[in-house]
Amino acid sequence: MTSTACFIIVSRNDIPIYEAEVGSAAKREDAAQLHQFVLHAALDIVQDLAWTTSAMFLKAIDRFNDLVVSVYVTAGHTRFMLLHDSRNEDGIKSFFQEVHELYIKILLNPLYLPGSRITSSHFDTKVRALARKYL
Amino acid sequence: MEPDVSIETSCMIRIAVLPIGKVPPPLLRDYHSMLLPHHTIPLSTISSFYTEHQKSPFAHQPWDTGSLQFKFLLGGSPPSPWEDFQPYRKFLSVIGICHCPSSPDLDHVIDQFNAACKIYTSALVLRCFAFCPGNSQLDDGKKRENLVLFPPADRTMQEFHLHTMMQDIAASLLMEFEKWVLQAESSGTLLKTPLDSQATLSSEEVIKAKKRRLARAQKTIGDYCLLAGSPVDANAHYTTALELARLTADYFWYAGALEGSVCAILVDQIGQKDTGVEDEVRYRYNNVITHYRKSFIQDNVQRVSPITFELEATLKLARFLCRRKLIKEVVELLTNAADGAKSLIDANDRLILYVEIARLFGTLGYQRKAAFFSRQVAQLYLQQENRFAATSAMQVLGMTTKAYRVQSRASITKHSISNETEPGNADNGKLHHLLVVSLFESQWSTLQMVVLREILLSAVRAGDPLAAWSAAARLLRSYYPLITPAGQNGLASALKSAAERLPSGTRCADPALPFIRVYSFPLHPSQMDIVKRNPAREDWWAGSAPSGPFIYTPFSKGEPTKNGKQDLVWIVGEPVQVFVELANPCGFDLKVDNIYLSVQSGNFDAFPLSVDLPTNSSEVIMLSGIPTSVGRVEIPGCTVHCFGVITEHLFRDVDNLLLGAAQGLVLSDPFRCCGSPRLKNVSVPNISVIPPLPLLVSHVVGGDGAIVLYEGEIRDVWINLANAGTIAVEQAHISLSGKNQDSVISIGYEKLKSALPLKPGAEVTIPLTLKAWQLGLGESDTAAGKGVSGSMGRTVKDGCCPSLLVHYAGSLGDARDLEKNKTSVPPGRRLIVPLQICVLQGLSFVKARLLSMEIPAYVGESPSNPANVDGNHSNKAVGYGSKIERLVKIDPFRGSWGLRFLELEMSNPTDMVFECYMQRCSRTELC
Repeated sequence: MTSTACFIIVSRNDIPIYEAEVGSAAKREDAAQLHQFVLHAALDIVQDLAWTTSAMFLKAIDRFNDLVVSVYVTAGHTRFMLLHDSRNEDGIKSFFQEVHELYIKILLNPLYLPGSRITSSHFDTKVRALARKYL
Repeated sequence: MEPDVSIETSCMIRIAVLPIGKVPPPLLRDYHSMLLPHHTIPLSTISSFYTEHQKSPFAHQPWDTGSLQFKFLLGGSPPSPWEDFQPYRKFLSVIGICHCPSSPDLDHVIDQFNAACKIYTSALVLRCFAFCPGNSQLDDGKKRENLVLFPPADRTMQEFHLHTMMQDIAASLLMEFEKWVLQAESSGTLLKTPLDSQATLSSEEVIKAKKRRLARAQKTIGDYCLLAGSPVDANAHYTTALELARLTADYFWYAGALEGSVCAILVDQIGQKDTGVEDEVRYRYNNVITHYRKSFIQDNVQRVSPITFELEATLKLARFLCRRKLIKEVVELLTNAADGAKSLIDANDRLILYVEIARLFGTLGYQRKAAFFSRQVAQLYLQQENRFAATSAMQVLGMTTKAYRVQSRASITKHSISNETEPGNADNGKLHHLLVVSLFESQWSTLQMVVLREILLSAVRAGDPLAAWSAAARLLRSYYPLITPAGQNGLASALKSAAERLPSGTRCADPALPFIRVYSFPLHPSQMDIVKRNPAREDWWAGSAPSGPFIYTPFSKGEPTKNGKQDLVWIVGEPVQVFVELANPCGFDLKVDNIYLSVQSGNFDAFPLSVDLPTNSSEVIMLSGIPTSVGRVEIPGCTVHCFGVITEHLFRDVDNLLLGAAQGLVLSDPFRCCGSPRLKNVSVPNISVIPPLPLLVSHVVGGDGAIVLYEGEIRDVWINLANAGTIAVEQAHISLSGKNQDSVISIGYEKLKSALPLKPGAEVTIPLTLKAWQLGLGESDTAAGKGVSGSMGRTVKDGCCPSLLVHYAGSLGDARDLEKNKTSVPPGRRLIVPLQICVLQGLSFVKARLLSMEIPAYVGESPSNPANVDGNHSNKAVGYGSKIERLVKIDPFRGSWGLRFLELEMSNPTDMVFECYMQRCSRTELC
């Protein structure tokens, strides 16, 4: 498992709807903030890059110092963004694909309003388990 | 590192602009701005100042098309250690600026100028421009070297003079360059950079340096050719330099020469769009970057490193490609450049690097990236811990607020506000979900809080209380659910301490607390109803109110009102009330010093109110005011004096917030968390103000309580009507409405008519005759029951009492006005005087029965004469007295008198004494 990783789901309206620090490193508040800042800035690059390829997994698209941003864009233009410091591309890809399935299950919930925050604790546990498995 | 570098920087002649003596800052800026347009001097214009002393080394100088480029630096800067490597870093000329009225002694000025020029050892041309000289200074014929007096003239004339002087400077510089190049070619100077300055220590390095000397000289000559505006010459020298540098493995100078050659190509090809050039530039610059990297020497990395040149070259290429819109490559270059920041030794260099990266991302349109690097810049500034750095940090953070969506309202332009109102206007409960979402786009609360906190911190450090107040207010208002009560208290005290340093009455565009929403706009009470007047009819009020049993009739309804908004009419000079709800969802007691309705149209006097809101509470308050002039009244929100600053709280913002909360997009609904019930969205109605109207108030003489009547009772009542308005009542008419209208037997119309016109303050008393109606079955039961229980049943039942409708109006206005504009008829009003009649049960009839009785007949006695048949009888008298014979008939068979008695049983549940009289009616004939 990587020491630093931050996973965020950004809705098509650029609102973060799910965020999780999934790294094994000790959590520090200012580090978590920096992670979000890097991810927020990477949206600019995603916005251009997403239209240049038909693949959902855009690989590592941006970096700042040692932190790399990998992105997965769903068909509904929801973006899964992972900030990490390791280069385990295959693991990240599998992680994204499995999270995508979980996300689709959330979308199928008739009580979930697309674009609003994901508050399901079940989703949270599953995502963290996937992070432990793949990252 | 230097800010704002581009490939073309290599051909710019740097000129220091220094103030000499006392020059007021605005004037200095003005003189500097006069210089700025002269940044390019075409070679063709300087030929008159140019004299060829020797054969010019610039053989291919393009005298028709070429030009010299100037870069003016106000205030100059200390010399760079890399001057020898890149001559464009030298200050090749110094221009002093002197404002003569503030420094009268010209000799002193020259001394000061010369002293100031001392540090600019590389300067080849020195000039001191003295503006606005006095007569004595002009007459003083003494010739002073390098001092140029500009005779007082208008601005265009002065600019013309300045232009001439700049041409002179350009020509002098060109001649100096020629001299330098000729000298360098013949003798040769040892050119060093900080990179190899240690080389002086070892003799081996000196020998190596001598070998490299020629290549370096060629490169420098090329640089001067470029500065002299001759790219072809420059290119020739660079080619030689590249060859020689490669041979001596002098990578650093190789890269420098390559950089120069790219600039030469660009200057040569200026104005031509050639993709070949673009590829060439890209290829060569990548080469430049690799060679700068190669020149990295491990042993002097602690002291000096060529990394800054590598980064500068990267930024130059990025800027070049940015113009060509090659976004992907630029992003790649900038990301690489950002990585280089770690290896920069000087914090200042890192600052410049981040500034440049942010600027380039900004030009690409990557606002979020730009904001990210701007924030890095701000953090570097904040590390410096001084006031000026804090001010810079605050300004830089201010630029990021747009990308992070935490702008101060003051920075949002009017235009974008008007755009935002569009969805706000459409909110009649049908706002589409997507539209709501778009209102809260890009809400990264964590980032927004961090940015606002940093703005607050830097503003406090920079000593800008207003910015601090605004940041704290935004933080508190938008993110209170994410802040602990202790943090909220901290922000509240930050607000207070910022306000202490502000002058009283300061306004801030960003509202803090409380949250304010419209609770209700009360309509006119029925006593003050406004009725449209139809001047063509005698009964002018007819048709204005819906007639018939239906609330809605398709005929009376005109065109449907827009937006389904209700319309409200206010009258000049009559106080009005609006209910608003305030909420304080934070963990401290909020003291609102003043709150009043904010009216943009300016025709409304609002009355302020002071409110205390305890922790986590909401309160409905009544705000009032008086309309002062005719027109529309726009009430966008409330003005609040809280935490020492005046702010504007718009209802629309809170409506949007509540809408977002309902969709789960905003953190929390401030009203619900204060325990206030959910309200339907109340929108501000369209309010118009009309000119003053008369205002009648009524009261029943003898007390406004219910008029107690017993069934069947007839009584006179007086109603007093007073004109409380400022306009006389010209017309008045009384009519009745409601149930039991026939209980009003007469109305004193004449009394009212004779009192007209009723002047302001005058009053009239109208007599009214009332007759109590019969209680129904159910009513009588309840009344009786109440009577028994002792409460006397004085409660007046709604709806069973009649009301007096007084339609009244002021004068019709000028008849000519009337013809011009039908709508200008001032409306009338309607006063509803409910007659609070309480009918009590009086005597009630219980039962009646006929009793028969036989009396033996006294034959011979005839019944008395029947003349008195129609007399009145009381029930007590029945069966007695002299008139009894009428009721008696003789039974001829039995010989006796048959008598019939009618026994009536009445009950009196009241404590009153009734006198009863009987009357015979035709239908109830007895027997």
